[in-house]
Amino acid sequence: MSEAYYVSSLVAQMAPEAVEAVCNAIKEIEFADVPLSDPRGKAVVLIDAPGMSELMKITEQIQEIEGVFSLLPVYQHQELDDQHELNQQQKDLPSSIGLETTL
Amino acid sequence: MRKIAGLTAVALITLSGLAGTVFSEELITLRGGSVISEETNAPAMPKVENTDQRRVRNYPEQPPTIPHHIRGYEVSKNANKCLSCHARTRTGESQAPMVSVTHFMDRENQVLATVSPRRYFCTQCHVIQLDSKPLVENTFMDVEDIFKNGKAKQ
Amino acid sequence: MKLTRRDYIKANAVAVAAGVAGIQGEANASNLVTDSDETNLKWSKAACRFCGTGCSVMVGTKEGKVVATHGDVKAEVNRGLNCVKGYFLSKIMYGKDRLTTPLLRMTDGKYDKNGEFTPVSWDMALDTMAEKFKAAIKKNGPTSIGMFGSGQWTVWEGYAASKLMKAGFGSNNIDPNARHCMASAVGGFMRTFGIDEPMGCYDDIEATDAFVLWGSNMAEMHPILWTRLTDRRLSAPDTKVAVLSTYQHRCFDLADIPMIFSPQTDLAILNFIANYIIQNDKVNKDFVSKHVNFRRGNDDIGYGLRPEHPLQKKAKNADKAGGSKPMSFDEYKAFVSDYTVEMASELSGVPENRLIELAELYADPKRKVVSFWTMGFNQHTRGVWANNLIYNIHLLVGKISTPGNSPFSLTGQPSACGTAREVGTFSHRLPADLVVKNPKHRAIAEKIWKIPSGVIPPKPGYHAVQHNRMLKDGKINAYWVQCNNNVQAAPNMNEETLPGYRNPEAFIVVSDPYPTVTAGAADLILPTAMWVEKEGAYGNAERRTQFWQQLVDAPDGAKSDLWQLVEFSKRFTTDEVWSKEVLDANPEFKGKTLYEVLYKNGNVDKFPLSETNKDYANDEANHFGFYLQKGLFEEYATFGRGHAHDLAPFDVYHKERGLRWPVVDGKETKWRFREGSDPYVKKGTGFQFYGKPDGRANIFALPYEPAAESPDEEYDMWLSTGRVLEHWHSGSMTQRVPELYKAFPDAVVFMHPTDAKKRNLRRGQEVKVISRRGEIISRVETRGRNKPPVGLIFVPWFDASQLINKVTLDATDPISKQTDYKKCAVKVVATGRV
Repeated sequence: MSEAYYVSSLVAQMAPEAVEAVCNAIKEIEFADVPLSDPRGKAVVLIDAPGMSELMKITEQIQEIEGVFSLLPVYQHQELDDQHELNQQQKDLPSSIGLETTL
Repeated sequence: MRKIAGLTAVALITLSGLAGTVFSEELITLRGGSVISEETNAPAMPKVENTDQRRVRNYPEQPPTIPHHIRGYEVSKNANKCLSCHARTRTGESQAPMVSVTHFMDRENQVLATVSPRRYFCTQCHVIQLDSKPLVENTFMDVEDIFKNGKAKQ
Repeated sequence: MKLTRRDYIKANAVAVAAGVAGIQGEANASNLVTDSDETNLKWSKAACRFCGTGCSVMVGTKEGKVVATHGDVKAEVNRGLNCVKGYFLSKIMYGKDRLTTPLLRMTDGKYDKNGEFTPVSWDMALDTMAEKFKAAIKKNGPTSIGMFGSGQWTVWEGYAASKLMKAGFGSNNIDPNARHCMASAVGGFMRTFGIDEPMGCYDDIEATDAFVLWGSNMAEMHPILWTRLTDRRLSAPDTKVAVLSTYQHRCFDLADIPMIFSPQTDLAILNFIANYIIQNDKVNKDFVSKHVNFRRGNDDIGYGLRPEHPLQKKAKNADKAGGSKPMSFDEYKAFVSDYTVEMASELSGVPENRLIELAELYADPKRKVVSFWTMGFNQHTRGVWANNLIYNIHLLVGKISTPGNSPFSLTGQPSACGTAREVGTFSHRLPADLVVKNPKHRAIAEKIWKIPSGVIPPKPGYHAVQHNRMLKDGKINAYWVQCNNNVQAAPNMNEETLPGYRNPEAFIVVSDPYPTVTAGAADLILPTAMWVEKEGAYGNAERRTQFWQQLVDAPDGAKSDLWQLVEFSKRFTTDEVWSKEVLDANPEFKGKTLYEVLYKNGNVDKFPLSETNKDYANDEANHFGFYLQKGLFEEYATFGRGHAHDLAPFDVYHKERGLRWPVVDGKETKWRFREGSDPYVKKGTGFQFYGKPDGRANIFALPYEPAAESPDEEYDMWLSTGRVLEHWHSGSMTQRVPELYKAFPDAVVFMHPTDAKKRNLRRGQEVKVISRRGEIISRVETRGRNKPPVGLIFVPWFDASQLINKVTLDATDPISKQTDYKKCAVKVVATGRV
């Protein structure tokens, strides 16, 4: 099987005057791109990252870009590699955890 | 005759309580060959497919089916056993797939730090699979196969 | 260019996000391969095919196939979510055994009731059918034909069918499967408010402080509403969830006040709450004095069985079940005073402290409360009463028609409201709450339909359960079933349904996409287009009307219910179906076909093909040469506009994610009967229950009465039936989706471990479930999602191989005629096999 990858698409909202600057800033980020944007203040962000941690980090980075009002994850798909697959053992793990720790 | 491939002949059956009325019921329903008025043996209770092997999805938006048993998993207002492995903070340890980031969004499209409560009851979308053989084939086509067919035609 | 899986995933990710953001245009990005011809799916909205929640879904199509579906982010109902069934909608149309040719039972080239199914042309199928319908009408009059329809018909299909039967054939023998599902709710609304359907809407969920579930397993049956309820409960921790049921199910996972009660005793609990409110001086006196009347309903009303049944003979008010007389508040107070907490607890088995906690949710003036119910109330031999009794409680405290205060009857089917109820496809109804009994109502319908006075018969037709009895008795001789699987659904199959369908005096036609058990019991099967293979409209439980376009073509040979109905009408002339008196008085109708009278009537054929959307196919419009769906809808909408049932113009619904009627001046109505939110409420009234002439709702004094059949020494257990999350109704669609099938392949008998032990049964063992009427063979399940108490079993009805309706009793609510599928007496014994 091939390498692992995480594909995610998000909708970013920003002030109309900030669209160009924000989109450029996002494009600067490794694994991130802006396939569609709308001058009224919206853009579709596409992330194709090698791992979950990268994906989360990029999401945080985008949220911190000046002019970004909100970032809405719309879609996520993950493909894992063989090694990862073998690690899918879900036994001997802690039992139930309290709601407050997860929500 | 492809169009009536689903039909085969089954013997004429007399209905109890219907004096002398006979009718043939050769239409293959989800009862297989058995007629409506007759009781058949119940199939053995199937087992849960518990391979931990993730299954290919039919399309990207399809919620993945659960590849392991979930017997005794508590998901209630007090606890969520699924998240004990699939929550973001637990996946390092469990190596289970993380709950997708789409699950972090609330009804007002705000992103939360963790799973949205509206996604709390996992089994509303994610289901186990038992080792029963489907009664009827499904001819749904993966969009990739449609692409390939389109290419082949060209 | 090679398109990899990864490219496709990325292209799709962008397309989905673009849809959410409302951005159009060609995607352009360095890490994205775009070959738009290849990757672009066409995304269109549609209403989900399954339950009454009414989720909106986005449907992706490519080269004439549905290839993907997901929850519609723009839809208020579900905001991007679907349940597992909804996520698998993409596959429901692709079971390999789709029917593609009409099949007629024949021997030696001729129709024969005992012949074998033989492929025939559509012309031969419809001609044979017309011959049988004509023969029946000629011999025994229009009451000898019948049609059984559906809350899963699209709005215009139900309308076209109702019109064909009532205005064409002059027969009121049309009833929908919604009779099995919502009739008691309708009865409750009409008796208490004089107008059908909930006053509130789903927005109540986010606005309330307490939920009470009365016989509603929302977690499995209305999963997306359950996500909203869960969201509210977990985000606002002071919110309380009370769950009442005769067995433990998934909703109990969220319950703060869980309650298992013995079957039928909900009536006593409801009266106890009213009593508690009065005794503790929590009546909202201002509201009650201005907006409520009190009435004493007739009691001892029987069980809707055949008249010769001993229980019917014994009942003193079996023939006037719906009757009532005015009473005073003090008389009502005295009536409910018998229902003390001790009495209710003793009868129901629910501890007193829980009952008081429950009553407090309603009594506490500081708390808002939403009551939800579905089949637990409606499939009940006192279903209308149960509905009346819950309204009593909300009316006593004035917790109604305001955000978060809502007695909310949930619907089972996707268009039980939109089609069955609003269009009026019941044997006693006409569109927009009109009824056939009322001469003024018939005159309104005859005027809108442009048919002579006297065509619509004043006498209500046979109701659903009666259909099968009349088929068996030889009173209905030609019968058409569309869009449902009633041989698997109707109660007491062995003694009524199957003898009825196989009666040599009856000709049975079944329209279905798949070979269901009902199709198997038919004489003629018509292969039918489904869901997005046709343009459609559904109306959900919160009065929301939703439309979709035809997104793909049906398999060659399959035709929609609408096409079948309208095409069938061409085969009749008025001379063959209308009385001589009517024709002599209206000679201009002589010799005309029903097609001309009903559909080429200047209304239905008013909109040209040019008004159809060129981006989508429309098989019916193209076949008949005019925009049939729009014409039907606009004619239908005439009934309700200006009469508190206002629908928006047709085209608006193709743009919106649905609108809640009444839609007045382009604005939908969220809460009815309250000044300021309902345009029909007069200024200065505060509230107005305008369905009743004096604007007041009724509180009814109605007692607890026992079930039609209860366990005894021999048949020692209660049987409750119902659905499971993964399957829709009889499973004809979902059992053909491998993932849903494998999630819950076979029905099982959910049973308490103690009951299993008592009978020397273990989990997985094969057993018979036997009642006085029939039996099924299944397997014992002592674990899993449903945990019945000792003395009760639960068996789902989706499994065609385990037809639990052979076991169920055909007792109905005498007012609503809806079957009680939740209560009958059975025994469970080992088969002796492993």
